[in-house]
Order: sequence, then structure tokens, then C-alpha cells
Amino acid sequence: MKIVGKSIRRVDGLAKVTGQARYPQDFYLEGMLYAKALRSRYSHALIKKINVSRARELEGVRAVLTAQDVPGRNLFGHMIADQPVLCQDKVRFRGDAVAVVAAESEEIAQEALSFIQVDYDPLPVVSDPRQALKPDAPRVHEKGNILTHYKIRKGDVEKAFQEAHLVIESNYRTPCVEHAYLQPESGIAYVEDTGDLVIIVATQCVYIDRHQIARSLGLPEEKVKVVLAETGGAFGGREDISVQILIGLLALKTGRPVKMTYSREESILSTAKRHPAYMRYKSGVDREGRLLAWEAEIIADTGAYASSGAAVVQNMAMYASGPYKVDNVKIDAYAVYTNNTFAGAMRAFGCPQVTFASEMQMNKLAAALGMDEYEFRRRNAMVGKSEFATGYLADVDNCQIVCLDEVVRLSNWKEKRYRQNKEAGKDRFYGIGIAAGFKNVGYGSGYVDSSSAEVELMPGKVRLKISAVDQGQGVETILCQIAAEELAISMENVEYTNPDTSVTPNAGSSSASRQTFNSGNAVRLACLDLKKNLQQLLDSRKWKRPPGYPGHTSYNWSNILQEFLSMEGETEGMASVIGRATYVPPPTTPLDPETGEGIPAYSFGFGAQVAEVVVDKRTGQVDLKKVYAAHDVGRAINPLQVEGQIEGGVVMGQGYALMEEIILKEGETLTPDLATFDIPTSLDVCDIESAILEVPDRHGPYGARGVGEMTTISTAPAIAAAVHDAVGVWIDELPVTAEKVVRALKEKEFQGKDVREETLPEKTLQEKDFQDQALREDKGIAHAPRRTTSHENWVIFKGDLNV
Amino acid sequence: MFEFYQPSSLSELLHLLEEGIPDTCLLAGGTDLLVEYRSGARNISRLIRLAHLSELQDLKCEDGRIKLGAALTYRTVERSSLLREKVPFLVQAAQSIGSPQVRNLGTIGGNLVTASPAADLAPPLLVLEAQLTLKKKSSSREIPLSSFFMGPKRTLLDPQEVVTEISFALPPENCYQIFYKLGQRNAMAISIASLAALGQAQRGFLTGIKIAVGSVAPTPLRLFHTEGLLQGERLTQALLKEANRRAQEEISPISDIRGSVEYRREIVGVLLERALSEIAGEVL
Repeated sequence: MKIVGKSIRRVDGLAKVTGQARYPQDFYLEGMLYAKALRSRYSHALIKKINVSRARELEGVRAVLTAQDVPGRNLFGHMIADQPVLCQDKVRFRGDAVAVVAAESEEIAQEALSFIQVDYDPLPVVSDPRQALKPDAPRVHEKGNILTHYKIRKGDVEKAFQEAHLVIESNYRTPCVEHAYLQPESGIAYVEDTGDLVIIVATQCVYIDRHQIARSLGLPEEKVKVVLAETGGAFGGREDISVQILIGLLALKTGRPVKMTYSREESILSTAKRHPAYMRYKSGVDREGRLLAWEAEIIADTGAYASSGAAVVQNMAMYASGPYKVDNVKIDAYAVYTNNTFAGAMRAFGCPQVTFASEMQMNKLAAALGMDEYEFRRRNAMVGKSEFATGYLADVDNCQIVCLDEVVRLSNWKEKRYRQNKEAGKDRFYGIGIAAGFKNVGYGSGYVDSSSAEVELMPGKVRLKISAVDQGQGVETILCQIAAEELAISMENVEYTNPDTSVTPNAGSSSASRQTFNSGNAVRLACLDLKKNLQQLLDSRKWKRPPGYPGHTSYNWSNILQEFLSMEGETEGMASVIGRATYVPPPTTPLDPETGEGIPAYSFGFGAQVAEVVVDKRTGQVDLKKVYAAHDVGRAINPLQVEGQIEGGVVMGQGYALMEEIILKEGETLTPDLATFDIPTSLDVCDIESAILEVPDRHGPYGARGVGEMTTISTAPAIAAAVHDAVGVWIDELPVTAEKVVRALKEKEFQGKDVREETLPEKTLQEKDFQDQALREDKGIAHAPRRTTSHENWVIFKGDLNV
Repeated sequence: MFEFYQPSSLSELLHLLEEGIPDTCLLAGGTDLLVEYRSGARNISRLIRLAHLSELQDLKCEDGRIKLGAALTYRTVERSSLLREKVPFLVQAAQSIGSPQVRNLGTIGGNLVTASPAADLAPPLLVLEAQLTLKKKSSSREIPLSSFFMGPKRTLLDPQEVVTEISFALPPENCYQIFYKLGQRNAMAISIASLAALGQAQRGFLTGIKIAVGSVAPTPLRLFHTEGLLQGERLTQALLKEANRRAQEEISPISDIRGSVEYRREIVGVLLERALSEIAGEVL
């Protein structure tokens, strides 16, 4: 293949680095108004009265709207619509919008907010999901606080725990975190002469947005046009509606273009977060280190509104027992409403939480068994035809094994793990840790997961029409590569059409690591259709032979295509030729409500990571030195972009592991900005060495599967394991802050144990533990080509950039 | 809305201040002021920009004293070869602040006038026994930095006054200069605790010991009592323990999102121990 598999430079790169790319903030339309929303003063309250008359009188104010001005359904939500566009009688969290203003300037709009009088009747607040489960807890919604309860029942856990050689039980907690994309929410709306409403916005799916906008504004969908602006990061956070409906409403009321841009504080306050989770895990193994039983109770705080919380928590249930063979599984996962900022989709959709817990369990079990952590995982990994916890039987090849093997080879695990002297300076200790993980590609769980593409051959170029959003992950380049490959043309001949509901067909959202897989297949199929149509054109003899063309006999679709491409500009009377296709992936099903049986997904992405740290035993500071990450992507369509996804995922995992936490007190955010919600800076990011593995997927384009999310799920448990290796304490609660390390060390000291005592397994590793040739031969497992990349030669620039 | 002035001389500035308009604010780097203003926490009726006042940009060494204009940016401090040579720990503290963008704007005078308990420059300037020159139209006074801070965001500064200069005597040649900052990350971090120390060990006896801490009291704090205990003593495990106990009495940390009282107390002990061990040249 000429183009697929090559690290082609991003097609959108030049415009972005030269400032030509237009983000929603960059649009200025004539007569444009600026919008601001008034957010709730309470975490939970009844609204008695709203008086906007003084705000309306302010000079420069063009509209002040409240719930009664919403013409359609005053509710929206990514999967379940229970969030008011503008609250009428009740507020459920601090980010709730109560009124919205459009004014001639941002300053006037801001000022107008202070003239809106809202009388509230405060209600008791529930901000801990465990409290919210109690029968006498304040009710966030009429129907009660449990949004969903997913169950998985397989085998007999009670019996298996009784028979187990060893059982480990622990409680884990993961924090609420923010996506922290570079570009805050922003959009612009205007009404066309035809009466159609146009919304230009940064989003993850123009079609899902259109559906929700039309529904709340009481318009037929065809009267709403959603156009994508450049999208500066998303990570799941732009699956939900933010400014879209509000600006649409104001544009319809005022007849003027309206722009709304959130401040960082508003973005953190009012948009979806990653679900904080409380998780009780219990796992049992036999004497040989084979997993017998796995039990988990997961309570996830979904905040004030449903968003995609039900699906996130379903994912937690499905992946709670990790990529391992276990015959006895019992999972209970609850999504619980509270008065906190609502939680929704965020990179890896429920998997970072449960992977932290399950991989901690794996490392604790290995330590208790005196078995090497890598070998223990290898022994239990799903290989070949495997039965999932949901009873689903699927061939997962040896993907997990190749990732484990590669990361162990790359990191020189065998030697480093058993290094006798771990001192790294005064009070400083070296540690190394490993974790694996897997996640679904595509929505799965019975959701419609198709993607449609159109490829249009025109004079001089091939135009690719598909609504796949490039939020920075690089799907635009991937799809252009696939079109160029399929049509045997150069990248320069392919033009990507900006997603627009009136122009480009529905590709579904850029989430669930699905676009390369689903839209990649759709583009491939559309190219096949184009070739077929070209050939038909030739066969019908309607093709007008260009003058001077040598022979007729060698004419085929490729010749015609080249003829088209060599033409300059529009040629009179020349119609374009179009190829269209919709790719529908293999079917999945929702989980059975009682047993959890079902088909969770049609493709899975596996990975394994090793982290190296140095821990200061006195201050508790964890210095992350290096992460090795091996990920099986089936086929790297653009290896450089895969490397980018791995590095980005690891850095996000590093933040989750060591510092990030949105702290909420009685529903109020105590970390409202990026000065208090710490994410890793360029001086914190560690060295990352990645390995791209390619065990082909059965259905993905060229064997490719998704990679966007899997790269972030194993980092935190690998780091926590490394901390344990360094100083001998398990930190069961993320983030692993310096203070928690010190506290754990003190508790351990108090218990009179030498903190170094437990770090080394009793059994040292034998060479044979690393060679499981029989396994490979038995399964006739595909050879996995390997690519590795390293930044070891890079100069780490620690000074200033403006010398 | 506010009036905006950009005086071209110190006397113009002092004249503007003399008018005593309530909510007059001085804009140096603006890295604190503008953030507060944007959040609605600060009223400004008159904003006076200091950027063009050459009188506030001095950086010199005279008669064994270093004199720094209050409007010098952190960046200038970082790049000064004089300061790098004479007071490397002050340079280190300046480098630990924010990001390059913040350091290009923020000023040393601003760092002190903001009076944050976490002000990174305060601990090294406290142990250097820095003097501040405070000027108003009719008078001028010099006060030690250690009596300048009144509480969180509160100082001795009169509304009609401006800090024009920060000066300190050169520390002895073979004196250890130590600055430690503990934050959640390596840049853009507000310290959980910080410590600066000066001192040396002569034939094993500690002399000229000066210690100051940040983020563990309502203001940056010089640990006079702890210093008194250490002066002229030989560093032993028992003395270290006692010094830590004394330091614990002097500090009064709070719990916030960055750390608890217990952790801050613990860390001050560790940083103190490390600083003293370094000065004494022995690992205890």
C-alpha cells in the first residue's frame, strides 16, 4: 500500500499552525450580538420567581430570555433528555442556566446578568453518591436518585470465593476530572433568508446536535443547519450540548447573529465531567494464580443530569473485570444523581475508573501470590476465543498478550523489576509498575453505530463528504489517506469537506474510538461504489473520450479518474460522479437487565503500560520518569498519529494518576479554573516510549481498530503500582498526591512494619516464565509486526522559550 | 469602568496617588490584579500603570547592598548575571514562579505587595533581611520586609504610597543559600510549602542561620525562634528534632485544596531538616 500505513503529514496541520483555521471564536458576523447565561446561585433550589424587566431595560440589551421563551421541549441531553435549556421551577446544580441575555457587547451582556432577579427557595443538597442512594436522601429528580443499576451475573462467585486460595478485597476511589480542552465552548447562530437556522459550533457530532437543537426550538430538523467550526479538543466533553440551543433561541428571537463563548470557569462549572467513582472490589485466585472470581460494586456520581451517564456506567460494568478470563463474575454498577456538576463522556467512557480498580487488584493479587505481575496477567489474559463477563463469546486473538510481551521487552522489565538497590538519592526510591487494559471500539451495547460517506469525483479533485469531526485526533487525515489509497491517487487530489448537516452525510460522533473504524470503512465502501459507477459510465459508452486519447480498449475506471483529475477547474457541462456508502458494523446488544448477558461490542482495543517513578519518601512527591506504552491498533493507518494518540493518552493518564481533581463541596466547585485544577504542564510530562502493535482486526479498514481511548486507561494503575514498588504502599484513591503517599507511609510505620519489606515478590522470576511459546503455537496466532518509537534523543527543553 | 493613567515619572505617580481617589490601583505586571478584577473581586476606579517608570527599574550593587527597583520583572531577575552570581537562591525562587509568560509580566514589587502567604520571592527576601522603600509625595520611609506583611493580602502600605525599591546586603561569600518549593507540579504551581535558608557551618557550628517559610502561615514568615535555637550550635539529631518542634510553634498553616494542616506541618519539618543538613554539610 502506498498511502495507508505511512506517517503522512496532517491535512489540517498547516492551517492550524499558521492561524488560518477558524475556531468558533474567530467568526464575526455583521450585527452580531453577544450572549451570556445566568447560572444558578444554589446547588439545589426551587425557583420562586424570575424578574428580568430591569435587565431588559439596560441600554444595549436586545433580549433576556427565560424558560417560558423556549418554544420546543425545554429539555435536552446526549442520551437521556432531562436537562432544561433554561430552568423553570428548579435548579439542580450550580451550572444550571436560568436566563440568557443577548446584547451589543459582551460587557453589556455580562452587566445585564446582575440585573436579573431570581428568588430561590433553597433545598437540601446531596453531593455524595453514597448518601444519594439512601432512601431519605434529597431527591434530585422526581423519579429518585438512581439513574441506572447494571448487573452482571456469571457463574457462582460465592462458591468460587470459598474455594479460592487467596482473596483480595479493596475499596477504590477515582476523582471527578475535567477534559480541559484548549478551546472553551463557543458557537455562533444566525437565521438565513430562507428562515433556516444556522449554528456554527465546535462539537463532536453535527447531527446529534441538530436533533437536540431542533427538538428544543420546536423546528423540523431540516430547518436547522449545523456547521462544524474548528474544534480545539473534545475528549467526550463536546458530545453534550453547551451553547447551541441558547444561541439558536436568541438568534430566532432577535433576528440577529448571536455568539456565545464560555469562559474557562463557565466551561468547568457547567459542562460534563468524568464520573467520580467509589468501587469495592473483591477478587479470588487459585494456588496457580488463575482468577476464579471477581466481584465489584461501583457507585458512580452522575451529577445533576443524565447526559450519557447511563451508557458510561454500563461500560464500567462491562469492563469491570478487565481483559481476563474469569468464570465467576458479579458486578453491580450504579449511576447516581447528585447536585454536583453532571458527568458524561470523557476519553475511555467509564474504563479509566474500573481499569484503575481492576489493575490495582491484579497487582495486589500478584504480590500476595509472590508472582511476577506480568506473568500473572499473561496467565489470565483472554486469548483466542474467549468468553466475556457478559457471556459473549468472541475471538480476541492474542492482542493482550502481544501488548504485555512488548511492553515488558521494551521496558526491560525483567531486570528493572528485580533490581535489588532501589535507592535513587537521599530519601528517594525507584519503582516500576505494570498495568494492562482494554476497551470497546465503537458505541456497542446495541446503539446505532453506522457511518455514511460520499465521494465525489470532480474535475481536478475528489471531494470527500462525511461528517466525521476532527477534534484534533486526526480523522480528517486518516479518511483522506483511505480515499487516496482506494482510488490510487495522491493525497493532494483529495479534498475534505467541512462537516455540515446540509452537505455531508451522517458519520455518527467522534467518540468511542470509532471514526477510523466506522468512517474508515464507510469511505472505503464509498470509493468502491465510485469505482463501480465510473466503470458503469464507461460501459454505458456515455463517457466522452477526450481528444487525442490513444485507445479505447484500455479504458477503465482508473483512466477516467485520472482524466477527471487532470482537468483544470470546472468544465462546462461536466457532471461529477459520486460514490456513496453506509457502513453498518456487526450487531451488538444492550445488556440483559438481570444477568448482564449481551454483546458489548464488535471490536476491542488492548494495551499495556509500564511506568517508572522515583518517590521521595519524606515529602511523598512522585516523579514520573518514563512510561512505556504498547498498544495493539490492528493496523496503523498513520503511525505518527497513533504515536500522538498514545502520548496524549499517557499524559492524560498521568494527570489522572497524580494531580487532577475537581473538588466539589456541597455541589460548589472549589477548583473553578486551571490555576486550581492542575493538569500536567510541559515540565511535568515524562518521557514516553511507545510501541505500535498490529494484530489485524476482522472488520476494521485494513485491519485497523480504534486507539483514541485505550491509551489513557492503564497509565494510572501502572503509576500506582510503581509507587508501591518504590515505597511499599498502595494508594487506592486517585490522584496519588504527595500528601496521600506520606499519610500512607505514616500509617504503615505506625503499624510497625518496614515499608520496604513487602515490595519484592517471594519468588524471583524464571526465564521460562517469559516464554509461553506453546500458547502461541496452539492458537496459531497471527504474527504482530512491531513498530517502536522513542524520544530518547530529543532535547528536553526545560528553560524558557523566549530567550 | 475606570480612569487609566500612565505616568512618565515617579513624581507624577506620587502626585496621582496623593489625590487619594478610593480604589486607586497600581498596575505593574497585572498577573494578580487583572485576575482579581476579571473575577469581580476588585473594584478599580483609577488604574495607574507603572511600566514606563525608569525609577522603578534599577538593578545595581552599591556599597555592598543590592538595590532592586520594585517594577523589575521576574524575568529580569532570572537573567541578571549579578543576581545569578550573588543570590542564586533568589533567582531560583523567581524561576519557580508561574510560566515564562507570567514571569515576563510579573514584578518583584507586585509579588510582595499582593501579600500572598505563598509569595515565592518572600522567603528568600526575608532571610536576606530586605528593606523596602515606601514613598509618597510628602515623605519616604524604609521598613524591613519582615514587618511589611500584615495578613493575607494585607500590608503596611498606605493607599497613597508606592514601593519603589527593595534592597538587601550581600550575603557572606561562603554562605549556603537554599530555596525549596513544594508544589503539585513543576510549573504554574502555587506552593504547598516553601522554605528559604541562609547560613554556614564553621568547624561544625552553625552560624548566620536565617530561615523563612511560605504557605504555612497567614503571611510569609521568618522563623526567628527556630533560628535562635540553632545559632552557634552543632547540628545533631536531637537539635534537629527540637528545631522542628520550635518551627511547628511558629507556623500556623491552614488546610486548603492544596494540602492539609498536617501535611504542611510535616513538610516544613522535612524541608527544614534538609536545609540544615545541607548547611552543616552532613547527612543526618
